[in-house]
Amino acid sequence: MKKWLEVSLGIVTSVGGFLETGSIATSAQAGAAYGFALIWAVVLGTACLIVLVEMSGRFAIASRYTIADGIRDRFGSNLFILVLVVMSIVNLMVLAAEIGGVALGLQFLTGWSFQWWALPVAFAVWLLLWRGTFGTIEKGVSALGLISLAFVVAMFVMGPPWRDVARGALPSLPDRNGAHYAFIAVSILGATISSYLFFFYSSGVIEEKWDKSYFGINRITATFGMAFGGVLAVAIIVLAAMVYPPRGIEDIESYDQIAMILTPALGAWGIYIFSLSLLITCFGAALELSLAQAYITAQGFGWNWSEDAKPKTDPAFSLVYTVAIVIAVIPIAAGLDPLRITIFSMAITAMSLPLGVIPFLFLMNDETYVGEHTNGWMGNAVVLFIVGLAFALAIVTVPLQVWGG
Amino acid sequence: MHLVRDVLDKQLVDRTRVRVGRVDDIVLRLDERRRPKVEALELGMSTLVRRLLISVGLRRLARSSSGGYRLAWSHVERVGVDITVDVDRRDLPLERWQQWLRRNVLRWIPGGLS
Repeated sequence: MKKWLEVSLGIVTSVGGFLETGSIATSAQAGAAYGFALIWAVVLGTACLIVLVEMSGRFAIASRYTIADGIRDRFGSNLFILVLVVMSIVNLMVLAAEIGGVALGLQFLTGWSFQWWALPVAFAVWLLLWRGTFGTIEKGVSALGLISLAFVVAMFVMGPPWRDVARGALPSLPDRNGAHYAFIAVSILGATISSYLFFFYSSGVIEEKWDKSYFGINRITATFGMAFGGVLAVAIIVLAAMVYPPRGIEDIESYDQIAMILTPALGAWGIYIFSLSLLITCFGAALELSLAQAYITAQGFGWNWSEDAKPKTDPAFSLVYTVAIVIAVIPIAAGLDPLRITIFSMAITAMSLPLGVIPFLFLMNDETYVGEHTNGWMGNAVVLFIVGLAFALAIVTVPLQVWGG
Repeated sequence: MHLVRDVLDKQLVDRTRVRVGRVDDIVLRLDERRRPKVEALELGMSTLVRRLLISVGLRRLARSSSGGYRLAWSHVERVGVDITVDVDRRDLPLERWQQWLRRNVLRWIPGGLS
């Protein structure tokens, strides 16, 4: 029974890392501009994510090492420093976007500008990390995150044409503005397959002390946890497709437009439920990103680390997330548009993807780490496909940002 | 034992299984019959910077940087998945630096030393 509760690691990874400001914004844009046509991007991204998250969990269970440990160990300090630098830039940018998401949620609830909420939000994130344990954070976020199921409820209330929704799950070419279509598809994939999830999840496995009896639980956790996020993202596309075009909105320009996505289905409560969902999912993501940053740094340099330990025990680890939060709050407190930061951060996440994915090809086939739990040919074929996809994304992101963004 | 594969970049732990850093470099010395012997492990950020400089072709700059902390090979107890060393971690650079952080940074943050 206790083991089954562990699936919450997957839900929290998903609530925090999957459905967050990036997925909400890109899904809403996709639905508004192209109806159900881009659902396939979420489906594809989720499938890739499930495979990679399962592998990062399997790696940690089999080797007692995290992905960051593995990178330093297997590829040496130079590649680790490259990964650290790139991931730090991406993480800080996405962390800023998530702090902005929480602050926007509070703005919609209270009417006070997100800018004023930036510092209190950052403080709350930090305080929870400073005083809390991995377990309380994990269980708290996954329980509260269930509120985002409201998107799925709203989807059923709206009663979409299911046949068209199903057709959207298959890739199709747009009838107009191909560059913009491709840009949103890339952003969705970038928002879905985020490298920091692998670092976070594999560290979570060690924090939760999963032993070798957890391979099955890991598979279930990865699959259901990430599918949970995928279903929510699809629900947002469906809602956006039904809410915006009839009202003449094809291009989402501000979060105010996204905030009304639940109103047609849930009435006056819609805005509050949306704001709470935004607030909680982004808060989860902010916790996860701050921790991921501290995990990568500490593990790569060989410091002692654990979210369960007191800051006094591992000061270096605790100060990494502290500094990350302090840096990331600056753009939001300065009043930069969170939606813009979000869109931009999804694009650089997509660009950094090869660096996050290629290590899997080596680590998951190295018996010195995973013993008999290496990838099968199918697992390797999927990783190769994702590496190819990652390179394609990395190359097309910049041109698409110029022509289609 | 394969030095690069089994020792370099590996996790160092003390006897109480606390992580105390990684093997950032390996110091070899030629003995009187000109055979290389492992003398010490080198630890520290400056060592990592030196490795980075060498690999991007800035050898001269790398040579000018001072090395990190040297931990004599005789302190190595066991080379396994992690490398166990029999030293007091308060003597190692990581713990000294963390001690500095406790004294100069954490004490100013509420809850930092509780």
